Amino acid sequence: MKKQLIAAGVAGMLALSLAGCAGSSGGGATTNPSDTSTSAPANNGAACDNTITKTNLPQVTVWAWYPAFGPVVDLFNQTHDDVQICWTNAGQGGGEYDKFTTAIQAGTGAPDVIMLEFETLSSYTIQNALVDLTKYGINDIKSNFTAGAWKDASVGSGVYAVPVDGGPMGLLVRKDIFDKYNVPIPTTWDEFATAAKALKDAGYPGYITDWPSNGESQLLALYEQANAGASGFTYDAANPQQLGINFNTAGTKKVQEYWYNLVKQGVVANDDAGTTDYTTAMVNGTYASYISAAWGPGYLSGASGGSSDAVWQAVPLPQWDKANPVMVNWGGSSFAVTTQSKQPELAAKVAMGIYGDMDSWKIGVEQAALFPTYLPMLTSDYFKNLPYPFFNGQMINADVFLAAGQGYTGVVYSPFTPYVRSQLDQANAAMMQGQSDADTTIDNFQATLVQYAQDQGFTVTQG
Amino acid sequence: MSTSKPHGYQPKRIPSQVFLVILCVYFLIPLWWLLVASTKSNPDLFVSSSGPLWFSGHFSFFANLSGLSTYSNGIYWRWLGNSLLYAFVGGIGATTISVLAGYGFAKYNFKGRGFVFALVLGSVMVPATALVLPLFMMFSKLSLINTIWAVILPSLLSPVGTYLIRVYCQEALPDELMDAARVDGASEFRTFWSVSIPQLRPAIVTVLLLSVVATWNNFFLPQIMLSSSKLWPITVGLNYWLTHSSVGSTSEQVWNLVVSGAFVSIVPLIVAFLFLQRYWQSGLTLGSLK
Repeated sequence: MKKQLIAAGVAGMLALSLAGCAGSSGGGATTNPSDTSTSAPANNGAACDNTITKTNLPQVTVWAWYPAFGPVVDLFNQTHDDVQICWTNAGQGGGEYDKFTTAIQAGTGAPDVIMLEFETLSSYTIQNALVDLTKYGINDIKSNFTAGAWKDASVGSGVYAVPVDGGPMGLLVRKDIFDKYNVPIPTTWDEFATAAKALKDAGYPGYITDWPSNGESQLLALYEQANAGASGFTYDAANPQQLGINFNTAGTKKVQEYWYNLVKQGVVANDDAGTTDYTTAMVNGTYASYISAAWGPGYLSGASGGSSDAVWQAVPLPQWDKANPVMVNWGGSSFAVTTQSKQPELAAKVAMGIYGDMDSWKIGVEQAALFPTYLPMLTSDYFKNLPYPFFNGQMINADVFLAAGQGYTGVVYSPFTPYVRSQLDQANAAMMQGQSDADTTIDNFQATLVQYAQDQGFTVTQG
Repeated sequence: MSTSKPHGYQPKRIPSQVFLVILCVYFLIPLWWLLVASTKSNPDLFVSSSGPLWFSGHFSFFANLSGLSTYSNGIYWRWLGNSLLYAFVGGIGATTISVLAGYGFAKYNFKGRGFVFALVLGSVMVPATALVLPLFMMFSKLSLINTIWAVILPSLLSPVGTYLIRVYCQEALPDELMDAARVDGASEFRTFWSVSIPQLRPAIVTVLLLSVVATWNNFFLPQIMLSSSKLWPITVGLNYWLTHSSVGSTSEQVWNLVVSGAFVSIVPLIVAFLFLQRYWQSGLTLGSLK
C-alpha cells in the first residue's frame, strides 16, 4: 500500500512537470506533449530546446552551448527523415562539463551526443565516457577534415569526436596605431620585439600587446610554435596509463624568456585575460595588437563600438623562423558520442551529419562565427572571399587564417588539461612576482606535472 | 530612556555615525554600480569617459530591457519565471514544513524528540553542496533529473527554519494559551490553526523570507540537476551568459544583458522584502519584548 502511494505520488509529480514544460514552451508549436514523451529516448527528461515536428522519428539528444546552434538543428531536422535532433543547451564549457562529469559518475543522465572542446577529450576517454567512432565509419569521412583537426579529435589510434571548429591563430593589429608611430607591422618575433620598443620610443602610451599570465590557450599555442607544433605531451587511449611529458624544451624556454624580458622592459603588458580591464584595454587602444584565434574578431566586435576610429587588420602570427613557419591553434570544438547512449550508431550518424554539408556550415560561419575544420567549406571560394566588416572589408580568411588553419598539424592533449592550465597560471604568476626566472619556471612546471601524473598512477616518460 | 533628552548635536555619536556612513557606502556601492551599469550599452560598459560609477551620455536601460526580451527568444523572462516558481514553491513549502515540525518539536512531548531534533540540528551543519551528488544519484533512479522537482524537492527542507520556529514557539507561544483553547473545546488542529498560527506570524514571515532568498540564490543544485536551459533559474542562466561573454569560440559579448539581467533579477527580492518588512519588524520587536 505504502509503495503504491509513493509510486503514485512520483508519477503524479512527473506528469505535472511534463505538463508544466509543455504548457509553457508555447510558440505555436504543433508538438503534442504526449507524443514527445513517448518517442523520446529514456534519458531525455525535459522537452528539447528546439521544436521537433516529425515526432514519429527516433530522436538523438545533443548538448551544445551556443544560441546559433538552433537554426543548424532546425536545418538538420528538416532535411532528415530518419532521425531528429533533440537539442539541449546545457551550459557553456565548465557548466556543461560539470553536468557531464556528474552524469558519468552517476551512470545516467548524459546525452547521446555532446559538444566538447578538443582539449577535454582525453579526460573523458580515460573515464570510458566516449565512444570510439572508428567502428561507426568515421574514417570514411577523414578526407573532409584538416589534418590538425583530425589529430585533435583522436586520442592515439581511436577517433573520439567529429571535429567542428578550430581556432587557427593570427595577429590582429591596430593599423592606425602602427601607422601613427611609423612602425612596420612585424612578421617575425624578432621584428615584434623591435616594434614593441619602437612604439614605446615613438611615444605610444600603450603596449604592443598583452602577455596574460592566465591566458593558457594562447600561451600553450605560443610554446607549441617554438617546438615545431608539439604540445609537450604524448598519450594514446589504447595505452591509458602511459604519459609522456616533455615541456621543458629549449623552445618552450626561449618563448618564456622572450615574453619575460618584454614585460620586464615595460613594452608588453602583463594583465590577466578575461577581466573587464583587459577587454577595455583591447578596445580603447591600450594594446596595439591582439594575438588571437580566427574567431577573435567576431568576439571583439561585441565591445568595440566605443572607439570608432580604430582600424583593425589581421596579419599572420609572427614566426620564429620565416623559412619554416609553424601554424598553431587556440582550441576548437567537436561532437562526441557518449558511452551512455543506447543508440550509439544513430548518435554517431548525427554527430557526423550535423555539420556535414555547406548549408549548415553557412549558418555556423555567419551566425556563430565558427572557423570550419570541414575542408569543403574551408577551401570554398565563399569562405575565402568573405569580407569582414570589422576589418573594413578585409578578407581575413584568404589573407591569414586559411593558411593558418590548413597548416596546423594538430596536438596531443594530456588527460588532465584543467590541472595543466591551472598550474601554468600559477607558475607564470609566480614568475611575474619575481619568485623564479623564466628558465626555472618552465623546469618547475615540468616537475609539477610529472609529480602529479605519477601521483595519479601514470607511468611517465620524459625527454 | 533617552526620549526625554532633545535630539540634535551629540558629539559623542559622531565617530559611530561616521563609521555607519562608511559601512553604508561600502555596502551600497555594488548596488549603485549595478544600477548605473544597467543603463549602459555594451561598448559603454568598457569605454566610457564617465567611469564605472556614473552614467554615460547614452541611456540604454530600455534598449537593454528589450535585449533581454529578444536575445535567445527572450529566454531571460523564462529564467526569471522559473526562479519565481522555485523560490515561492520551495519557500512556501519549506515554511509550511518548518512550521509544522518546529511546532511539534516545541509543543508536544514524544519519544525520541531529543534525538530527532539533534538530527535536525546536525543537518544544519551539512552544507547543501555536499548533498548534491547523492541527490543526483537518487533522483536519477526516480527519473527526476532535469525536472523542476529536482530543484524544488530538496529546497522543501529547511533545518534552520525548523529550529527558528521551535525556538520562537517556546518563547512566544505560552502553553497556557493553548490550554485555554483546549479547555474551550478546540481540537488540536483548531488550536494550531486559529490560536497558534496568528501568534507565530512574525516567525513564519522570517522563515519564509529566509527560505525564499535561499532558494532564489541557489546555484549549484540547479546547475547540476537541470541540463535543459528552459528549466534554469536566473542564477544559472546569468552565469551561462557570463561564460558565453568570455573570450572563446562561439562567444558573444552580452555583458550588457548580464548586468541589466542581474539588476532586474534583484527587483523581485527587494519588493518581497519591502512588502513583508512590516510583519518582520513587528516580529523582531515582539521577540525582544518577551
